[in-house]
Amino acid sequence: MSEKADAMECVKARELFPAFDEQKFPPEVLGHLEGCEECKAELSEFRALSAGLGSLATADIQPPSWLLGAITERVAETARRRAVVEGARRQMGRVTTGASRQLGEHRVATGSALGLAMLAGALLFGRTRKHGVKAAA
Amino acid sequence: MDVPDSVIKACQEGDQAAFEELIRLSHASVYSLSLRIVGNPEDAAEVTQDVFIKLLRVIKQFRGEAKFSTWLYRVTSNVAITLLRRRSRRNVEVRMEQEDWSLMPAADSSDPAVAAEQHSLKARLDSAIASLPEDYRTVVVMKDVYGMAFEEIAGQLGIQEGTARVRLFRARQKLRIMLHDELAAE
Repeated sequence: MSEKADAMECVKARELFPAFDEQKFPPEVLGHLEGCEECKAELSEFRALSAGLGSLATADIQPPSWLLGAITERVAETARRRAVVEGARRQMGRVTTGASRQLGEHRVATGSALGLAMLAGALLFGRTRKHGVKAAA
Repeated sequence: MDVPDSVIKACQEGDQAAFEELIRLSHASVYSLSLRIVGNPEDAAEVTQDVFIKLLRVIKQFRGEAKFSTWLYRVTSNVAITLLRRRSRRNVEVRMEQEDWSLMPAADSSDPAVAAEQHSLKARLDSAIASLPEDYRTVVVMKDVYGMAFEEIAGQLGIQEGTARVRLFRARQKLRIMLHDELAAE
């Protein structure tokens, strides 16, 4: 195979290397890798890179010394504020529930009174109409 | 990060002392992920504080279906990405100086020479990651360092999975070129 053809095969193979763990290489790339030391070395670098990056997850970076205290303080302050807000909300809930209950009772009473007034009105209207008919006759 | 289940459970029940213990055990890991995404110590400290404030509210949502660390990393990357968006809206210029931070001493090798070599490679990796453009850095940190799925990454960043893949592969290409000498010696 000519040098130019070899170079083309290298270019094609190397395009796939960054995704080495995502897809299987086609047979022609696997065949090329058998005989191309440079491509084999480059693929090994991608594998070593991947292993190195994976090992960073357990390699913590030193946080600034003040950070732990700052987090604890902010969290405590937030928790305190939340407790105050929740307490106020519960209090409001009790007041609202009481008010709703009163409003509910008031509504029942108003509704009953309105109902009775309508019934009385209907009876009175019926009687007046009867009288009216009699008087006309 | 190693947070016992008993501490997590106590936090979910509102135990403030347990929450302080959780912060103590996990703040360095949260800070590390934040820093690797946002790229500078000031913003990383802000993200770390915001993560624990958010955790106060959402820790009850942790059901134990995934590892706690995986779940916490998801919360952290979410908060960090929100800060990146805010920062890009304000057009804030970010100072990238990896020299500002250093890795915590590791206890993963009994041979001091090997440990020092590994430590040095990790520091070089962090430095190379910090020099990547933000779009590439975010994806490579989430996928290759913290092992998140493309679906999760794409969802958090509001991009297509295909876009996330392209960014990852370009980031890997850049990192390989930057770290050629170290990687060839591996």
